[in-house]
Amino acid sequence: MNCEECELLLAQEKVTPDVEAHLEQCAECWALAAEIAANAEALCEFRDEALATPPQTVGARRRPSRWAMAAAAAVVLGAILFGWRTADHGKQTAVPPAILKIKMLTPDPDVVIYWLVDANERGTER
Amino acid sequence: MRQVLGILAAATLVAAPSIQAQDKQSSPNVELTVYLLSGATQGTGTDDVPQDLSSAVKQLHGVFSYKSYKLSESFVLRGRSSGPQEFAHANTQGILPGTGLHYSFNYNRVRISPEKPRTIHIDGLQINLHTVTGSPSNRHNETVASIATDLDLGEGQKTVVGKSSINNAGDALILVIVPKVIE
Repeated sequence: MNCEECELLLAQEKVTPDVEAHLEQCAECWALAAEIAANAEALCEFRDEALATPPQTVGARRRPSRWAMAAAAAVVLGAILFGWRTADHGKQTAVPPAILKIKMLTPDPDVVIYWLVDANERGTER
Repeated sequence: MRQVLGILAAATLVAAPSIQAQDKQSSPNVELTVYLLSGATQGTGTDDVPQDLSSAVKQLHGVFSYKSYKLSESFVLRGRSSGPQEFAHANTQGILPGTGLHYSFNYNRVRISPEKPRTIHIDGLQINLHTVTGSPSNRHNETVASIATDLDLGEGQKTVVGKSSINNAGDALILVIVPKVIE
């Protein structure tokens, strides 16, 4: 199995023994799998957060806002990734830290912002 | 405050020796200028950053509600770009002025895309802020804040990487990284 085949299966939530064997040998695919899992975990963290109620505009035409569509897409993605994470992989794997990376394009083409949301803020090492 | 560190990365090579030699000759270096900022939720609202960062800080003000941004440290880290089968680690460390906090900054490898405009891929970028206690023989590091991620940087672009709420006051840890390819 090559990396492209592995990535396709990961995207389809199909963690087969071949995929697992490839992940053990390929650091890049392992990192991708870990990122997918971390994003899923971070999205799950958001499920319990209360969202502010947007003000209602009387007489306004009802149509889904971009934010609503983005939120819906995030929920769908989260559900897919959460399903992959909770699938029976056949063996126990290390749980990566929950990190969600958000890319923001700014009006200045020379400035790109990435913002990280991390559930594991603190740790201790010797 | 500004440190200029020319650190040519120690390489861990897994390719054949002949390929390694070829890669070493053809691999350009990548110079990362790294600015370490803090975003404050309290205070006077006056920024304290160099002119080079004014465009990035302007965009940060447009997105986030932090009252001010302050430069804590800046450094330049230079390392060799890696081929597909190798890792050229690079790292630097120091102490943040005025805080006593130690920092360590490192990455596993940088790769350069062949197409123009070039993109610099950083694998395993990590910065760690920590306190150091104990004796030299029994050193104890406690992590205060950290950022760990992979990044794609546009050549010459200012790429901002940040994380909120690194302390009880809700301040932010922010990196601004400007890559430059040295042929």
